[in-house]
Amino acid sequence: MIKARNVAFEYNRRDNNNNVVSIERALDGVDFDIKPGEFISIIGHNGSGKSTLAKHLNALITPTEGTVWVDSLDTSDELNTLKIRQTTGMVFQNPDNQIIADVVEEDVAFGPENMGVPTEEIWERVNKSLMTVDMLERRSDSPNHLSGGQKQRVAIAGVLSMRPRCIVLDEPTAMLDPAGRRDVIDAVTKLNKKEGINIILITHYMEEIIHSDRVFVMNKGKIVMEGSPSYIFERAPELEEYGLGLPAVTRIAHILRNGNINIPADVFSPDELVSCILENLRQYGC
Amino acid sequence: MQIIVDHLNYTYSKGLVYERKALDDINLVINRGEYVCIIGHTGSGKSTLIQLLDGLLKPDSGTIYFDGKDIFDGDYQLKNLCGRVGLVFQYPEYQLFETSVIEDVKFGPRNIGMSSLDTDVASYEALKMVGIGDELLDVSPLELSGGEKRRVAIAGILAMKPEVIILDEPTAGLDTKGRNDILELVNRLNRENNITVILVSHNMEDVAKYADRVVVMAEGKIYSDGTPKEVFADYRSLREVGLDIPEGMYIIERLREAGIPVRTDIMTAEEAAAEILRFISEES
Repeated sequence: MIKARNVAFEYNRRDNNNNVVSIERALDGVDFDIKPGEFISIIGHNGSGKSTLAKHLNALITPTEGTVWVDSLDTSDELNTLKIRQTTGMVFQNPDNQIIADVVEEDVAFGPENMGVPTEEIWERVNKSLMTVDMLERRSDSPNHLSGGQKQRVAIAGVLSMRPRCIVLDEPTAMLDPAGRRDVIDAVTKLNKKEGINIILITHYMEEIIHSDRVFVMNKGKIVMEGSPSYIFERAPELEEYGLGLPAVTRIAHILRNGNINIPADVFSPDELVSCILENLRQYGC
Repeated sequence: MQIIVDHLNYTYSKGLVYERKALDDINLVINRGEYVCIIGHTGSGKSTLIQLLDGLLKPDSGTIYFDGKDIFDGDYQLKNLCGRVGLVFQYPEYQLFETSVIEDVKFGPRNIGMSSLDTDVASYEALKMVGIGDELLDVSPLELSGGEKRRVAIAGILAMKPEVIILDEPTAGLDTKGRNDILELVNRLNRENNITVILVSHNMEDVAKYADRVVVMAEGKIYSDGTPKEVFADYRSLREVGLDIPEGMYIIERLREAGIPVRTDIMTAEEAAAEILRFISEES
């Protein structure tokens, strides 16, 4: 679905006379293959290159060196740009920057309308998209009256209505409260599991990566670790070196495992952990 | 009693169809040197309350006393208040605007009428306090990293030498390291400089770790108020208002409900794990 080979990207800092004063390598030799239907999470501290990488996935920026292919289309070829952006949709951190219409359903209709979809089909897509993110009831409201999490779900519906096969979300929950975060992550997970849409989720919150098939850890513009959520969580000291902390449940599970308590590697939620601890206690005969 | 909030009411869009009561008869006393966290679901009234505390909004009725004086009294100089009660907004780095870091920090103290020399000293000290080195003083704030920008924005408030500092989700959008840096800084301001801290947060782990006191808001009212331990003990009622408790405490509460007599004076994940291990080794 998406392939990257030896991708590097440089930001140039220029002075008033437009001379390059410094070059910062935001991406440095990145390689990956993302298969159709995969759910990928990308984590890394501020400035590790996550967002720069995300912007490569729908040709918002193109590599300084190396190549990114979306559906076998080279993103550096401008003739492919439109096709790529219809294949890969993008959702950003701040919902207020992405919503443009006065009414929820009009905002969701904007994408397909722009693509020249016939009116009847637009309505069909708007309905379905809003239903998928559970926002159908608010279709005729003003986005101004929605909470952050609701706005973010409308933004996702706006991308969905263009029927992309892949959605890239760049820290979609950073500005939301816990309930809003949960709703957005649930909506995203549903898109992946039920609709088979490729998800690439960039996040700071370690507990949000647990639904993904694979996790990329980024540091200094490189992918430094890659694997399933439990593989990643088992490597706490290494993560710490990259400025990343583990969620509380995982930390507790770790300490218990080190104390020879049997906790399976795929326990991520507090309720699962509680059942596990109780099971252990039962075996000890308490 | 440094701050007394007395029967405070506030309504948005009064008289319009969108009229919404944001604060409903709030009473609150905050003492000098306290570290208070305000938690609550989006729309619970937290942000409205802190804007009133800084005198940015005027209440419908009720008032706030700061150091014994009614801040909404016609004679009160609100301009003095904003130096003494410093408010750090959400995403404060978006408000950096000067051409250099030091100039940006100087804006606040200069604006409240500090002398030029005092402004220079206070700004320099504030930047030191937040850990911004001399080499960055003349750099454009736009060239800094996210965490650095935020610390510069906080320095801009500290340079006014506030007695109270209010922070609205100061760690939102930062990575683990950036988050710890900011929280350690705020903690130091409270413990070492005796600045009263009022912090709005969604991160219950942080609240449990640092706060002396937690005020929970729901639907414009104060829902509960006490030490983190007292407030988090009742996770079911917190869940009803859309809030979670720190996961370590949650696991301990659930074990107790299942009849396991673990200790309850647990705040952090590490303490919870240690207590579970202790219990298992003693029982087996």
